Amino acid sequence: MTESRLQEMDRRNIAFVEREWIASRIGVVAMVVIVVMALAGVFSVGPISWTEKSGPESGVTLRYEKLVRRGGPTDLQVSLPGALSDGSRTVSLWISDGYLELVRIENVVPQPDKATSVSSGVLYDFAVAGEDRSVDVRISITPHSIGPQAGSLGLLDGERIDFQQFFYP
Amino acid sequence: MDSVLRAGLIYFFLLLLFRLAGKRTFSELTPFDFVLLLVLGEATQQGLLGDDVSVTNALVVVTTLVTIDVVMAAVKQRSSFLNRLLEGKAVLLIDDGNILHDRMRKAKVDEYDVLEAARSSHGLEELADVKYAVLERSGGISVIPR
Repeated sequence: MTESRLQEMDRRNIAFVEREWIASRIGVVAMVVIVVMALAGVFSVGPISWTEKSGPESGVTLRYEKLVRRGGPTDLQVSLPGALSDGSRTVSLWISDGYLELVRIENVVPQPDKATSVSSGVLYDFAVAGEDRSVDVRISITPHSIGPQAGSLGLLDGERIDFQQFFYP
Repeated sequence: MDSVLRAGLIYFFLLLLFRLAGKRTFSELTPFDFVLLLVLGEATQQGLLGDDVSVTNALVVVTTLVTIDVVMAAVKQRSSFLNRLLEGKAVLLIDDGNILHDRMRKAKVDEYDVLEAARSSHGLEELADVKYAVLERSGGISVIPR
């Protein structure tokens, strides 16, 4: 029986279309994987994105997101020791200049008493209320660069905490 | 420069997504497809323009998108490989009255879809009246009656 034009067209096309269907199935699986990764925090905001670093000598603890999106809001949560050896009622948080150039600071809670530019960084002074209380500072930032970035913070003249983040474009 | 890169990246990413989602996904607008299209525009807007809402940026982005579209159309005309890759090919779902169930399953088409196409195009009542059913590149179904 002679082949119709449609059957001839089908014979020419079927191999390509079969590969297309396979690619489509793989693509759908890839999409599901991307969604699951996003839920887990691979693209920022999720269980695996948050991490914590501490300075054992200084008593400073930093909680931050390793994976952040450019233009997407995030926080640096810093816990500073309230009771200092010199008995002062002010604790100063130093953040490196290099990091501050990469982000825009939206808000600092509690509001610092003073913000001073010092060598290679900015110093934020926070009042300490009560005895032996830690000062919990939340710095809301918005990254405006992309790629792997590094920052440093800590007490003035004290132990520094170095941290790395990846800013997605 | 970043406006052009944003527009290009989003254009090609959406193109890849829609190709992988399958032809039938967008061949006929159902309420689900309509909602998706509405939301897609909103979701991509911020990525296209970023923080820059100037007229200049908007014009650059629009020009980039249209240019990509025109270039892609020209490239598809000159390259049968790219044309095949981007548009796909038509295949039979019913061959001389034989229903190709395996292909229909892979193409995410069922007999109701073919029957609907048969009714709307030729007023046919039964699949037995269909000689050929072709899944077109667009995702639509063409029916040749007996």
